[in-house]
Amino acid sequence: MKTLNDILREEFTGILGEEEFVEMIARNKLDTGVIKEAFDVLLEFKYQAVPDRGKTEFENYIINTIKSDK
Amino acid sequence: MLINSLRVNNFYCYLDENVFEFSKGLNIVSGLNSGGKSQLFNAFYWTLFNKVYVDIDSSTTKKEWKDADKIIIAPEKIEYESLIGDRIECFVEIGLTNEFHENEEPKGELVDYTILKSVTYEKHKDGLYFVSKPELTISYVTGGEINYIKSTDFNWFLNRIFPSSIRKFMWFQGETVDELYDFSKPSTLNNAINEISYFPLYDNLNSIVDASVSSIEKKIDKELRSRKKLTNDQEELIQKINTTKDSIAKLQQSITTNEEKVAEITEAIYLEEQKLKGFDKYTDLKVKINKLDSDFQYAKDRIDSLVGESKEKLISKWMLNGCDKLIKASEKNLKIIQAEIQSFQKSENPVPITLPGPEYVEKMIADHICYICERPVEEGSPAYKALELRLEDFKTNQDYKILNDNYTELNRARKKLLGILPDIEQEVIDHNKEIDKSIEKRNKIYNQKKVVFAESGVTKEEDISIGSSTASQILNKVESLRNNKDRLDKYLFNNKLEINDLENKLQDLLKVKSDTIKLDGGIVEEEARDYIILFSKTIALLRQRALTTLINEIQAESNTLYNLYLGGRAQGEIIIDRGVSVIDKHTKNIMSNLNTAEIVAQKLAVANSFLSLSEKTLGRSFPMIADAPTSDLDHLNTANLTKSLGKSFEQMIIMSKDYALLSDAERQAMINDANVVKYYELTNDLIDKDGPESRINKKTYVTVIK
Repeated sequence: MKTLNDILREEFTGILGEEEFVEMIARNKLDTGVIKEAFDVLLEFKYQAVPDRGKTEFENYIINTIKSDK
Repeated sequence: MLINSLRVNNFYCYLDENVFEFSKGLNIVSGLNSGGKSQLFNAFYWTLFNKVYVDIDSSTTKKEWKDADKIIIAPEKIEYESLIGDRIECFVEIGLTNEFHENEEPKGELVDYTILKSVTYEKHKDGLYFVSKPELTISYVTGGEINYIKSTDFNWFLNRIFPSSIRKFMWFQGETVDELYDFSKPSTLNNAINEISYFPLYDNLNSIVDASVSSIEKKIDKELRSRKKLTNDQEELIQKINTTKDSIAKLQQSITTNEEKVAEITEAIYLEEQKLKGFDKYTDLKVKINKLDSDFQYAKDRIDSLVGESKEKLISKWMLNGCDKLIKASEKNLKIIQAEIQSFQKSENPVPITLPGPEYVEKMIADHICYICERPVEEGSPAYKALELRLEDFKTNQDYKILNDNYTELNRARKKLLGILPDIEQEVIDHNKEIDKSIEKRNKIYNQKKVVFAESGVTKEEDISIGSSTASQILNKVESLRNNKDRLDKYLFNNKLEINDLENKLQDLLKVKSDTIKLDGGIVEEEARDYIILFSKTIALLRQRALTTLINEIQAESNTLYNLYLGGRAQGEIIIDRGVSVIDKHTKNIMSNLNTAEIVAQKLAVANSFLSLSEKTLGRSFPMIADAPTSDLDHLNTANLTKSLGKSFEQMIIMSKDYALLSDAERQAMINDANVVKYYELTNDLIDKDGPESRINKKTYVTVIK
């Protein structure tokens, strides 16, 4: 059985396939691997109405991943 | 979730202990009327939600859901047979399996819960009294240990396993099928959708991403300052960017708040308009009645006025009629007078009437001398008598002259009056005609008013006044709400224009910034910003689409089930918008006057679609426990529906009298076709076969068929 996270991931992946976002990813040379991992970080905080901790973790993940990839 | 068992001990018609075991799939509890099906449903409801579906009061057989705090659920037989001071213990115990309640989302960690409710009564002279309040205990086993849920958490726990917004879908009381769902209030639909869907989670994700958008810009500026000395112009540019962003954020906040207000007002308008539906007829009636009342008053005033005028005319006529008669009566006498005058004027006398006056003739009589011929006049002589006659003539002549004058005057008045009388008479006739017409009109209006009342079904005029006054209040409220909404809409429109301008300005400023402030090797945070903006846009879009997507899914699921329940012969399709309606598949017109099977299928399909989507999207399954869901269906439809139902629920417990009519062979065929997992038959029968036909000698017997 699909988990809730599986369903949310599926929806997110679906929208990334839309033309507008495909172009945005290509134009800004974004790494789809990073996008998917960052979404998983977001999912860890899906039940939290207060965004502070989620924001820090999400942002740090992206920044640190970009830094480590350089 | 699965309901595994139900133990009922001394609950209405269930004496001593009765155990029901249920499994995944279709469970049937069959029994004729008074068999004990509804009390079985009540046993669940009493335990979980402290309510029972019982008679409104002793004077009616109509039922309603009542709070069970003060309701005695003990069997009458036990009450009857107990001695004063005896204590009676009653309880219901439900065993169910559910995802561990502390898990935020399903992990497949299933836990067995036991929900026990008990109550003890004491027999007094005038009946049973509570020894203490009914007590609820909820326990579960994890890691080999029994744990108890705190009583302060009972409501939270029960709402978690049976969410209130979709509870009615799980607990289906056939007699209250119309109340199964009511989506006329938009928030009711939204709440039910929130309960079975994950899309409110997008709100949380969106908040995180929005906070990151704002935060990453600050990080970029900080990084710039730490790595490069900025000029005053560059600092000013960054300041401008930040101010613009703040303005956009404030405006966005204001837009969000106002959009929420507009949504609330829109819902309030809708609710008021719904309320108005019951009262708008009073407004129309009031307008009609007011018009008729005004016409009636006009006709009445006209009649009064005409009658008043007519009275004057009649008095005049009456008086003139009197004169008329007198005049007519006097005519004869006047003629006699006239004849007398004429005959008098024709009479002859030797004494010329023209010469001496009456004083002169009087003197001649007194002096006994005729001064005309200078001769003596002897008393008693013919000359003397002629003088006396002449004197008499003078007197008579005087009277005749007066009489003649009166006659002339009377005759003139008579002629004048006789000329006027015919006109007045005609006028009175015309008046009377007009009065008759006005009376007819007044009566017609009166009857029209009676017809208006009869057609409206309102018997009391004050009901119209109250109704129209309420309608008027509602209309005023709606108008005031609409004005508020219009004002907010304008405000929102202007805010959106303003935010658009600010966003354009911000883009320009950011472009200037990226063209003029550059660092060798770039900034990581700037790259991160591109990722975050991508998230911001995609999640906002997912959030925006989620509700529509889910409603479409519910609609699709409802239609699949609706068609299934109607044996693939559905003529219509279910539309979920504001409320639920069924439209014709071909014409797309709303179908009214659905037959009973269609209504039941529609209600069950929508309820079930919510439950099954919850399972699909959130991994939370719910059973459906239905009392008499098919009570309005005929024999064939019941069997068809049962077969279809079994395929669409993870677990369903149906309590119905309809299966009791089946022969053993038909029942066995249905058990096989519908894949029935448990089948109980209830019979309410005499305990002492030779005893009285009374509740104190009856109980429900449970027979396990499968």
